[in-house]
Amino acid sequence: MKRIISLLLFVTTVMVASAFDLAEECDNIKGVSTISINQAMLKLVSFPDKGTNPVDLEALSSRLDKVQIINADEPAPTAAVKNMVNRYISSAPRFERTMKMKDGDESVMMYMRTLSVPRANEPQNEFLIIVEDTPDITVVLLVGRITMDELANVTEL
Amino acid sequence: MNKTDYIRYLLDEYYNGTLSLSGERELRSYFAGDYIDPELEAERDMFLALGDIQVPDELEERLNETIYSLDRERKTRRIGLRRWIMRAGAVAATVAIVVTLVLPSGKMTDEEIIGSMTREEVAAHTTRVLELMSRTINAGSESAGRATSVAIEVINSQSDNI
Repeated sequence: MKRIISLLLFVTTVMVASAFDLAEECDNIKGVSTISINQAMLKLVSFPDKGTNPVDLEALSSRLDKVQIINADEPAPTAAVKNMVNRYISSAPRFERTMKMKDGDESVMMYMRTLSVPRANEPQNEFLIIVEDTPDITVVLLVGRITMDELANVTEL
Repeated sequence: MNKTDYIRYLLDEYYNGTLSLSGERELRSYFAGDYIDPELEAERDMFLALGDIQVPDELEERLNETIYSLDRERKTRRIGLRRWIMRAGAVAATVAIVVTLVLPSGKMTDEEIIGSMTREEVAAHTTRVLELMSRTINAGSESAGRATSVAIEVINSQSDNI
């Protein structure tokens, strides 16, 4: 019986941890706009015009699992989003702050973590960027089998 | 039916375990009597030998105990099996909940997936996110490079002064 209870508690904890969806949580905050694009959506996307960008965005997006954009431009919703993002970062293990830049009222922070390595040399990474320009805040979350180098190449040239 | 045949009939009933008590008494009285048909001499020895067997007093108690313990073991096995079925059920139910809540459900149509956004909008948002990520990483690495250069310059100038 103890084993069953332990198993149920473990599964519940995993479920609660997995169920923390940043965009969904921020959806409940008044004055916040969110965009959430899942893997199934990303597979349907086609990028008709490559323009001058040599990076194949279509191939890149096929390796993305989740894209979320959260935006607020009023002091109260911005504070609530910041609070929610802090909760998300502290609840998600292995998140590492890779960058912080501050220029006056504007600051940019970037976090990254490796979620899993489902295939050889293709780790599933999660990137989180928080751009604050008082009183605005924009949070961008990206999950996919994509590396930081590949992301950097998108606008390198 | 003559007497000998009748005694044979009673003996058959006795060995089959279906003979009544009065029949058994009849057999005992016959074999204890003065005249026994010579054909039944061997039967007499067997019957009397069986009659000499003493049933231990505690036999019934021991038999009852054995039957009870066998019954109890069967019930325990049934309870054990039921417990395992319950455990398996609990695990199966938990897995079902996890699959339902955590994993994406069923096959969705393109319309359901896209929802209120057009494919062009999804492409535009994805591009915007990728570009923002890219610019942030590039700006960060550029700043890091610049900061490192400045730090080296400062250190060099300080060492020249020294």
